[in-house]
Amino acid sequence: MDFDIQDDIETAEVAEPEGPPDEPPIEYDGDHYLRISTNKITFEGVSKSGLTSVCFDESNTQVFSILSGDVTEVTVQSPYPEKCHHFRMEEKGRVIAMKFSPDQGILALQRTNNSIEFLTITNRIVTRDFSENFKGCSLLGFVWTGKTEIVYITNLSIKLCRVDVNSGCTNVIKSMNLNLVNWYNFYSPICLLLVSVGQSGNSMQLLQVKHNQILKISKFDVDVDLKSRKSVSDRDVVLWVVYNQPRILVMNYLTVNTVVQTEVVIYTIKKLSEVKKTHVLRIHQTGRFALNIVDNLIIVHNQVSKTSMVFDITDESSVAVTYHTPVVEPKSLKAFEDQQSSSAVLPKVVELYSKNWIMFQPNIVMDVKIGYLWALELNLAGFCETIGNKKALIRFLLLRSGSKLMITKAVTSIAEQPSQLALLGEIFDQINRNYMSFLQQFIKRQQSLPLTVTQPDDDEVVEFQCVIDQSSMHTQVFSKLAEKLDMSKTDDTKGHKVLSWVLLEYIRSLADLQIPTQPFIYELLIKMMVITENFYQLHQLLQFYAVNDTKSLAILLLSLENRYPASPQLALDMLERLGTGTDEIIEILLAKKEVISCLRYSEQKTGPHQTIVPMKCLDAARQNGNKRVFHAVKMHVNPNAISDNKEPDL
Amino acid sequence: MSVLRFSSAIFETCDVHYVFDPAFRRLEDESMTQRQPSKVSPKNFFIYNVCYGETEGQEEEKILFFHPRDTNVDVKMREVGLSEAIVKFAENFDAAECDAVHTKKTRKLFLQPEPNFWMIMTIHLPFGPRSSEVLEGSDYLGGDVETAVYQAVLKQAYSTARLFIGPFQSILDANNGDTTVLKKKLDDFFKRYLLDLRLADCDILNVFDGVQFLPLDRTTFLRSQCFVNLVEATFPVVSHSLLMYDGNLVWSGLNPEDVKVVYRYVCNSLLPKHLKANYLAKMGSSGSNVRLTRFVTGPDSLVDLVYSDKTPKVYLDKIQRPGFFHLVVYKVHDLVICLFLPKNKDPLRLELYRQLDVFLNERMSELITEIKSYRKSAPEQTEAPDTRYVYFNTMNLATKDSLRERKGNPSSDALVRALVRLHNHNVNLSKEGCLSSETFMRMSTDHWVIGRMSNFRQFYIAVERKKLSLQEVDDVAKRICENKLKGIFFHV
Repeated sequence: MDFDIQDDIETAEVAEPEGPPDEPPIEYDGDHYLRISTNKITFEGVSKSGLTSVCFDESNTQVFSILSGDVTEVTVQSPYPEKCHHFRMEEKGRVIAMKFSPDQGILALQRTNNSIEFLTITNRIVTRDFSENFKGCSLLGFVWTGKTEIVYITNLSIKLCRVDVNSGCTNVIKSMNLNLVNWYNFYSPICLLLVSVGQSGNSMQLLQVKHNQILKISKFDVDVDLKSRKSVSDRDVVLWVVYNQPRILVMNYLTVNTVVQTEVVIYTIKKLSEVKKTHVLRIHQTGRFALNIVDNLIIVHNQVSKTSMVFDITDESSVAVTYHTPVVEPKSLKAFEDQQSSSAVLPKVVELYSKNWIMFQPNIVMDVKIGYLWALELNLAGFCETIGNKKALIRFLLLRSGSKLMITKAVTSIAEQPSQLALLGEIFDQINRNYMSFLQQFIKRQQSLPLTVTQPDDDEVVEFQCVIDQSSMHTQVFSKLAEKLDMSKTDDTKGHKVLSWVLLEYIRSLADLQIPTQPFIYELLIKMMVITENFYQLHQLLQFYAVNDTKSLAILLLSLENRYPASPQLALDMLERLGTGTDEIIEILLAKKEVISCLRYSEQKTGPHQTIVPMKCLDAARQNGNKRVFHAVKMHVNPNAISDNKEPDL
Repeated sequence: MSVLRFSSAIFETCDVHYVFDPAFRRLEDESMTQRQPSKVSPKNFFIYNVCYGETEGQEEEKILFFHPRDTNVDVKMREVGLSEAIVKFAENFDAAECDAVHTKKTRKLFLQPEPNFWMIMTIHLPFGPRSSEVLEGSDYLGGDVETAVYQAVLKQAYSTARLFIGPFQSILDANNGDTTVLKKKLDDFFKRYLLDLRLADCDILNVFDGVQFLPLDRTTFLRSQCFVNLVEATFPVVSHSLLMYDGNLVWSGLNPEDVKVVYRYVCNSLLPKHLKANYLAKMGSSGSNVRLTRFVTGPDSLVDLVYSDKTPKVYLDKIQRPGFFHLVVYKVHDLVICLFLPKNKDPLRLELYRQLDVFLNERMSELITEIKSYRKSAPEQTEAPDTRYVYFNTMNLATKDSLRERKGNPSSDALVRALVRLHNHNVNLSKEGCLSSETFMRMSTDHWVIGRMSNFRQFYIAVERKKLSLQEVDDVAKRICENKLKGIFFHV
């Protein structure tokens, strides 16, 4: 079994939704949108002999390979190293499902539809083993909702129980009777449980297990065509969070003139209280379909045509149902190349969209026969090449994780064309709106109390957005453009002028959203304006405070005196506004030999009872050579010195 | 007692006289108006080049332009000869050139704008009573004429001429030294320019020759600025642009030396004329919907089949590649954008104007809304009616003033003239190396003028309030400075 790949797979979507700290380099391979991760988990696949069976737990992202024999050997694989196990247990017959509790302490195991077993495992050996039987009902399945809390779904009821390992029994905490449960679907992060009830085939009951309670959220009928099949099957329903809201995705097979047209109906669970039909994905294809969710995009795989469609449900109206078509043309997944490195074992041939594929949420693809488990990944470069409308592209990319470099690359290419300045402005606005909401969220979090008491449900799912702050904009876009200009070494400063337009547009966008601009943006702008010798224009920018005051900028301005005589004036104004530049102002005035105004200024600012500045003034007056000024300063500093007739050394 | 009675008897007779002879009263009124001194008026204006007509008898060749045109050749030559002699004579005393000659009746101003070219303007001094208190006798009032103002007028005349015809020497060079073309160009330009010249209205603002910036907040300014960038990015043929709102500069892509000339031309000549023409066109068409083009310079109509290129060509100097440019001025309500397009052989195509119109109209209308809403949110503070100020930043040529509000009142005019004197004082101080100063001056009318100078900025205040102590005047000045000069370093 390969264990060495497990660290890497964390960068895929199965891992934390916070986004990887270091982004992979841009791939310029733009001919596909989706691929299965090169890092895979291998496991013992299902064999024809029936000796190996495989089951998967979505909640923990664990694959169980169960090899029957004298003893049953179980290998548990997962992208998370702490969730990988290997153990043996007594051979007791076929296993339908097995799931670890969230802390990996207890393993629940189902072999028949009227009993469940609990095991604890230490050092690969089963240490405790007890079971519970169900009478008069059939166990459809079970889910863990806490370390020791488990929910049984039987055909007649939902039972929340606490498992007590020490005494080897379970206690019912809560029980809810339901009339004929067909199947269930569970979303573990917030313990949402969707059950199909009744005989109509399209009635659903949405429940949430919370604080040792089973809460009924809503009972509703899904609006699907039941002509072609009797009931909605659990394979056709996905319960997951898309764009920060729990959604129920239902495959709908519409029979139109004897042709089956498929669509995906999306129900949104609003504020965990109301279920509403909000979106319909138009597929316009026939075939066998499976769903995945990658980075808030809904992927519809068609096994027959061997293509996948990508849907984005950002456009949402509050009243009507929104109909969506694919973001891009349907295309096949990227062909999978197995890594050659794995020793003498010949790489297995992977057939894409094979019949042995099973999709799990959000983005897991499993080939049960070969024994591979992959994460489905987006190839953003493919989208960059296909989405021609740049604004739409940036909007799309801003909602994806790990898209920073793609966005900055797109922005750079737009910024290089002066004719696209208007578009660039709008794109900056888009990016900065995202940036601002990130900043606001950040401030809110800083101010508010630790997030435990208020609304734990809302905090479970944090929408990920790609935030491009000023420093990444600076390093990824502006500095690169500037470097290119430095390389070109022509006398023409047109490029520099264009870059200053770009920077001003960016500053304008920040100012519109009242985000303070960072000094390095200004520094680059000033550099460009000095290169193009647009000093008067720089003067105007400073005059209207388009460039913020900083001491370093004031000092930079002072250094420009030889090239632009007005810059000391600007520097003095800036120091005055800053309110902390009194010492610098005094030095500047002394350097300009404005001894008397210097003395007056310092006394106005710091009062008459200090000695350093007056002495400096006296020195400056002496060097200045103007006897009247010297005398005036001397008289002011020391009025008793009239008798002191010593002439200054002129 | 008897004296009193006697005098009252005289008044009575006078009263009777006024009442019974209205004609006489009218005469009296006229004589009263005549008691106002005459205004400053031009006597002559001429340009000559000392390199020409050096041999005796051919001195006329020196003269490139002479106003009035119908002056006798002998008089012209005498004037030129006299000017040349004065210049030569003055050279003996000072390395600096001769600036002005004061005579009893006239003042002669000298300017050598380019090597060997001299521009001379002679003005008649006002003639009238010495002051309102003196009832009898008239005199030439040389003291009422500030030389600096008219020197500035002469400089402006040159810079405007240069804007339209380019440097004088370059025209001579282009024609192998032949003066015919230059003479023709000078004649074409100055005969119209001098017609519009109102010498009597010139004041300290002419001395500064600055531009007024529109006060804007950061966001609105950045939007305006980015709009200008957008225009230049979308129309690469546009090399430079200016944006103005209601006679105030919002953004200048030109350098100060060029922008002040263009600004003066657009604000004082082009826009008023356009306004008048539009008004007349509206009146003439009497309500029928004549579509007025938004191009102040450019085609009269965008659908004209016969189109001729009418944009003025202007010479810009302080840029990387000096030369002539088409000046296209486009106006939406109070917002004016001036575009400078390099002049080459081909005239501007009508298609370009159409594209500009489509691009500019909507965007400028949006910008106007933003500027207006800002100005509504931040109205300008007004000062006490008896104080007036003028501000000038020598570095970016920004001026701001409240002088125009009380024009025409003789004592107010005297105060404004006093400001020029304060300014001269400050200029001299700066030359000596004193960069910050404060000067108070009490007039014979018991009014005050204050001049402050610091950090290359000048601020002058006229206080038309009597019986103020120095302390009180200082307070008034301080308050105005605090109100008007925010966020800058201004310490005297």
